[in-house]
Amino acid sequence: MKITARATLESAAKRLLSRAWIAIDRFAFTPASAAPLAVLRIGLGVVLLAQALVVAPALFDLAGDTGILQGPIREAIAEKDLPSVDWLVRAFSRLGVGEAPVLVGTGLLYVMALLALIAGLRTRTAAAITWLTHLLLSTTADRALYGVDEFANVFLFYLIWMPSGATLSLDRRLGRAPADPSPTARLALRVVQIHLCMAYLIGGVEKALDHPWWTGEAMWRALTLPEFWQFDFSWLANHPWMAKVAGWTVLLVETGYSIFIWPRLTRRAWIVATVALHLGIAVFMGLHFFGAIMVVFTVAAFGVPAEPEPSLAAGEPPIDSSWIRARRWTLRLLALLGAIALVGEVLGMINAAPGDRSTVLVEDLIAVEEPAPTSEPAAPAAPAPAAASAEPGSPPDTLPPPGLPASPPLPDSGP
Amino acid sequence: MEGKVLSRRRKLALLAISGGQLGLVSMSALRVDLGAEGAIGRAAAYYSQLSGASTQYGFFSEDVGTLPRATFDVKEDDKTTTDTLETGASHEADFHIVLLVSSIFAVAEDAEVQRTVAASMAGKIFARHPTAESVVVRAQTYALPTMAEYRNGVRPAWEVFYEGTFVPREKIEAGEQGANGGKP
Repeated sequence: MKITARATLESAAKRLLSRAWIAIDRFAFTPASAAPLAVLRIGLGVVLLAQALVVAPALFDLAGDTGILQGPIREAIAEKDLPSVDWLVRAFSRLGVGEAPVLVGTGLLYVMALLALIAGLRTRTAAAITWLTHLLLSTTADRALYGVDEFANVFLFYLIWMPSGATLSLDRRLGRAPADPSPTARLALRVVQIHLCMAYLIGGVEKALDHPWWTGEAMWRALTLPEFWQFDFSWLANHPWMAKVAGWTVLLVETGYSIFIWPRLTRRAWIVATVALHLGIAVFMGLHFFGAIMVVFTVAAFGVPAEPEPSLAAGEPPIDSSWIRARRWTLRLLALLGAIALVGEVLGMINAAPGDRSTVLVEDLIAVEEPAPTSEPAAPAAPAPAAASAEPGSPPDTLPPPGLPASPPLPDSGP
Repeated sequence: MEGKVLSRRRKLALLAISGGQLGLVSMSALRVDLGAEGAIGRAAAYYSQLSGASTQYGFFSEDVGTLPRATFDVKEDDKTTTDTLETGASHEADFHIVLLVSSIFAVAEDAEVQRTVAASMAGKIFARHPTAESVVVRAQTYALPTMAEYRNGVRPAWEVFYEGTFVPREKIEAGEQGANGGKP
């Protein structure tokens, strides 16, 4: 009797495991088109290339030994203990090579690798070099990083391992690309999708635990703080319900992302809502590249169909559906990215001042007055000094209400 | 890793690797300190940093905080002008510079380090104004009232949390030499 019961249990467990494996196999390994991965590769590459071009004039300010934070200070207060350009500088200094060629060389290698990644030329090698050079530069200027740099690191790392060159790539044209559709394309897509769901869920839940997102105060701050100031939103104070509804909408989109992005019925609505959220961040908070990169991720991971085309009827000429699909979605995405004010950033770059590599070393300066106590911000509120209105780039027609700064502290280089 | 057909063993290996990666992502999200868990934990923490699995995603979750700004009063030719570190090269470049400037706030618990960071920033300003006699570094945070306070007439203000004056060593030494009649 005992043996029979045990055998029945074992048999049930085996059946359960078998069913679970079939479900996992279907979810993670059903052959998929590499089109979503190609759109991710090209979209991410284009955003990072544009970012590299507009940040390049400040390279020495951000990461140079004579930058805003001089080399030893930057290294002393670094948050991450990862390889940086400083390591390369030290290594090359033994060969008599100075800092500037190493820093510029790393930057050039990064841009060249990005171009190869976008073109899909030796895609994985290009992804590896892009990831490494991005890491080196990011670590060197780690106090200057924000969301776009962190997300770029994550997804460049993934691109090393995923078959994103299997379509819409020179590798494919040259016959070097892996098979498409493939089970590994599906697995890679699942990793990207789950990672995105986790990111939105964490972001949404942490916001939901925070009172200001429910009261609308967080929206008020996001739209009126000087570093994010793009338009005059001071009128929002007289309509707090609007800030509240906007805050709730952000919470709904972010916390609901991991659920409603999966069913076909709600997927399109959630993609549109998420893209709208990030367009809002780009336009109303001026975080163009963060907005753009997040749009790329959601469109690539959930917007581009990954199902292989059904078999063609006999006699019809073969078509490369992945290539066509990836090209169509890439063009759509690039049009969308263009709309996220990348053009404005590039126009700003044209007016860029050449990189300033001069400084006076800290040891050549003497502090002649002791700084004010710094444990707490000074209590008496000082009104915005005249310097605020003297800052460059103040939008002439955007006059703030009394008390708000006459211009955002960040010069707006938009057209 | 490609191929139309994968063996079950290969699939299991790929699942384990993918699951491990996503597991690290979720542990970082739950703020588990892997570095405190011995050599393997430290290796996992280092790998997490390299791969970006340690990234936190709570952007703007602990309220939307303000970034400090730094202004520099430059005394030059008996005139005082105000400068900033932002170059106007591009919005994105300037945003990265603002983030870098905010490190003066991040190191606030150590006055000596904070003074050194401020001196480094002043160094850039002296390079732009080679004849400057002194530079006053003023770091400020933005005190934004709530919507209700704003309706009641409270207005935003910049609050100074650090102020320091810097003078090039050579100018002080030259001044001392002048006071000694040119004798060292």
